[in-house]
Amino acid sequence: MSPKNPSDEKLIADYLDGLLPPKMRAAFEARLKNTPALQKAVEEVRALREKAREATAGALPPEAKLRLYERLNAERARRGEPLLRIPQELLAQLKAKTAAAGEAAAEVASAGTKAAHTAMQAGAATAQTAAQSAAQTARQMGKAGKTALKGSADALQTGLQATADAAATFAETREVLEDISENPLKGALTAPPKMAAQVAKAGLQAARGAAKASAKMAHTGVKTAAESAKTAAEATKGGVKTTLTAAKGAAQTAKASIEILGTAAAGAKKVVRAKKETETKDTAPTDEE
Amino acid sequence: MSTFPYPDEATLIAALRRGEAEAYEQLIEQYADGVYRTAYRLLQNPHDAEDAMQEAFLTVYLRIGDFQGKARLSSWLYRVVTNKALDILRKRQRKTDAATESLEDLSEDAAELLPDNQAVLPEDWLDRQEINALINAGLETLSPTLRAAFVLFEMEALSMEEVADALGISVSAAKVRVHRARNALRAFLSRHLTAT
Repeated sequence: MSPKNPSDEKLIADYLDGLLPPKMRAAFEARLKNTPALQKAVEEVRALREKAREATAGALPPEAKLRLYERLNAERARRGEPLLRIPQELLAQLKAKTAAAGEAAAEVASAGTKAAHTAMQAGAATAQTAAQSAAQTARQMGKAGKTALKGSADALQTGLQATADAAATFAETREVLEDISENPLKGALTAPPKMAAQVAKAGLQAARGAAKASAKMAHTGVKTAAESAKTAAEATKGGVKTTLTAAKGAAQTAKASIEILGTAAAGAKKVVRAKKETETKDTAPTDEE
Repeated sequence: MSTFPYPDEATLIAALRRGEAEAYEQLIEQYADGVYRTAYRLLQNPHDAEDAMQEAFLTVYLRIGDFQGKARLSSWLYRVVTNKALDILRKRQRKTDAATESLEDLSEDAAELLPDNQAVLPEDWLDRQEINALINAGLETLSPTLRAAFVLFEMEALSMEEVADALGISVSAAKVRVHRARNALRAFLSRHLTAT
């Protein structure tokens, strides 16, 4: 809870700025001790100021500091004045940073190569799975085609046989006609029923043959459809397998990419750590060049 | 921490006037970080900040003979780097086509209507990155003179006298600028935070 009193805001600001006269400061501190809300308000302003400082802070990079030395030395050299010595700590910082940056770059390159290899492997695996599925599908389609062809041939044979049978039956009616020519009176009386019977028999044979052929064709059709359905199912299964392989490959590649980012971040930390470690080393500058 | 060969400012200034290399080495080691940081906070650009920093130290080297010692050496350094940074900021402002909103016209009345610090600090729903970005954006909307006063006082923790010295203005003028900069920044933060 912050005080909503605008004058308190000014008091807090002046207190933190060290601008309160001694008496006012003492009074404010006494009030602060007994007012938790005021303590919180002071802390909030302090935190905001700290955040603002952090937000805009920019540490002097060691390379920039080196360039400052070099710039001043260039001017001093022009005037024939002794040059400034670059501190050993700064040189050590730069060396460590360069080494860390090199290491980090090598690690990122290695991670990149690994990721590329993973991606290639994943691509090859997906292509192989797709090829296998395609071959399986082709085989199934071939099988279904063969079934259709065999069934059709069977049905045709059945039809042809039926036709031959019917033809043979019609041929038997010749005997009836011969009877008429030998004994016209007897033939006239017996031929019509005999001929009707023969024709009926041939008709029946033809009909039976056609039915049989049709049944065979139908069976072939069903069998072919079943084969085709099996082919379609196999193709779908193959497609799913290919998709799963591709997804697995993509996941492996994504993991490898995340590893690259992690490696780069670790490398950046190394570079920063290298700078900090050399800053805290207690190395006295020497008189050596 | 290594000890410096010149223990106080008076002896350091005297050695600088004599052109002693060790004095300039100490000057760099003592002040380069702070000077760069000030430049960076004003300019938010590392190359420009480095330029302004180099300019500051070069000025001390070339014009140390003119330095009368009435103000602190650090104040002089901060004045030079601030002026250089303001020059760069003014050049940027002239270059930019888009109108930049100047917050220094915010009236005191408007500032009084602002929510208190608690509303401006929604720490429970804004993360650090967003706050940093907002603060930087807010600073960029300040006029160069307000920004300089704010950065020197709030960020570099110079005293009000040192800020006045660095900016070449009176202490009361420095106080007014810091106060106006704070109000403007608070208004900016409040407007952007309540809009989300």
